[in-house]
Amino acid sequence: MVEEEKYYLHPSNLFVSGKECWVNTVLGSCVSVCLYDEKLKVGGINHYMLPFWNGEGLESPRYGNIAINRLIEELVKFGSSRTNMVAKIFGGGKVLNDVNSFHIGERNIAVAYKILGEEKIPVIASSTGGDRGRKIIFNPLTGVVLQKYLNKR
Amino acid sequence: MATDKNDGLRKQLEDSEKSNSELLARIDELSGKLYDVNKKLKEAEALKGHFISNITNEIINPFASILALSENILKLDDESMDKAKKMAGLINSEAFHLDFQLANIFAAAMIESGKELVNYSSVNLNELMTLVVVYFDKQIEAKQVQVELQLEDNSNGNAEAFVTDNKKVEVIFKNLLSNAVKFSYAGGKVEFKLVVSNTGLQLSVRDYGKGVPEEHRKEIYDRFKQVDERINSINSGHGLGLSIVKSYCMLLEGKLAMHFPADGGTEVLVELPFADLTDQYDDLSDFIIDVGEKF
Repeated sequence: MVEEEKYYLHPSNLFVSGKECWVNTVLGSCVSVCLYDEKLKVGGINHYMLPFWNGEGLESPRYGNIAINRLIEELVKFGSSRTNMVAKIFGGGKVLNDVNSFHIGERNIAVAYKILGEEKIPVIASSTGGDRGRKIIFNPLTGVVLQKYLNKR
Repeated sequence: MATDKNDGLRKQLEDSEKSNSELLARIDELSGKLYDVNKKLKEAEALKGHFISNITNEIINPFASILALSENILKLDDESMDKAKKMAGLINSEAFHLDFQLANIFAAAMIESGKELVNYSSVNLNELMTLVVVYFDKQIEAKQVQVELQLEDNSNGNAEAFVTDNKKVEVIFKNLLSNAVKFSYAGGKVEFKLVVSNTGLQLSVRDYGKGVPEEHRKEIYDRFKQVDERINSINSGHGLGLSIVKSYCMLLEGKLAMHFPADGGTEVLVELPFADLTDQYDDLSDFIIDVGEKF
């Protein structure tokens, strides 16, 4: 693995680039959508914690509906068009035993499929659900995602 | 025999009726919530349109005053130093206000774009606290508000080298103090209390102003929301402050809460954890239980 450029993607953030680099992030019930445009060789990744923004506070990519749409917009700014984008979905595990979490992971996954479906962006790979966390490493230049599971914590 | 069966059936019917009405109540509750969220989203949509006009006024008005005042200074004759100083003071306060508002607008835009990174470094909380109060010196003096600073360090020296995102904590401190001074009555008191422990910090900012009426408490974190529209004329701003503070608290894995004590005013509580720099998930070899997969 090239060690030159390495980023850690914090929750509620997103990252878009057309350069060779490795974007690390760790997912529990959070979900990351990776978008890639093969023609343009540009990729982007987000990391959201909850499915929907409820109108409170700032309209930040902490929420799936904001984070996915904003990621699409960011790729469009790079010159990509929706028809050339493909998506990969990761995370949404059931890592919290908390009853109050109301299946956050599942709902996070569902919102990704729903919005990507509406935008007609095909989901070409995914690793979602289960009861373990994941560490993923995304390369925006190639669209490749490496994944390792974490021990249940 | 038949009556036994009847009783059993009746019991079943009653039970299902009960759970039915419970479910109905739950549906009512959920549709109530849905209604609220719907309303908020509509407002948010409308605000997008207002955003430009809101911001334009906030930027153009101070600029217009600054321009006019500086022109007037240029026209003064050489002997009117006193007048010039007075006008320079006004320019300064307009520019100060503009600077603070712009910083907030850019902070909110960064958060919403998802590009706000967390940069950890160590901060001297005592120095930061003093710096923030000095920053609002003129506002505090103009309103004759008494600001009481208190720092309690229950750790082994964490207060002098607290590891967190310096810039974000400064923005949190500034916005909370600015709000407290803004909503205090003239001659009022503001308590700015910091308690530092080995695990993190607790900040409490308390004013004795008018507080927030109960019906508006749900919307205090909403952007561009000023609870009392009339206040707008004296206390300018976009109501961006608290929504930024809340987002920063979440980014720094902290908590934010607000209380409205019975004796009036507002108390804002912020809890921030001592950042553990080793926990950046760089070395996860202990946790990973299988070889990697490629997608």
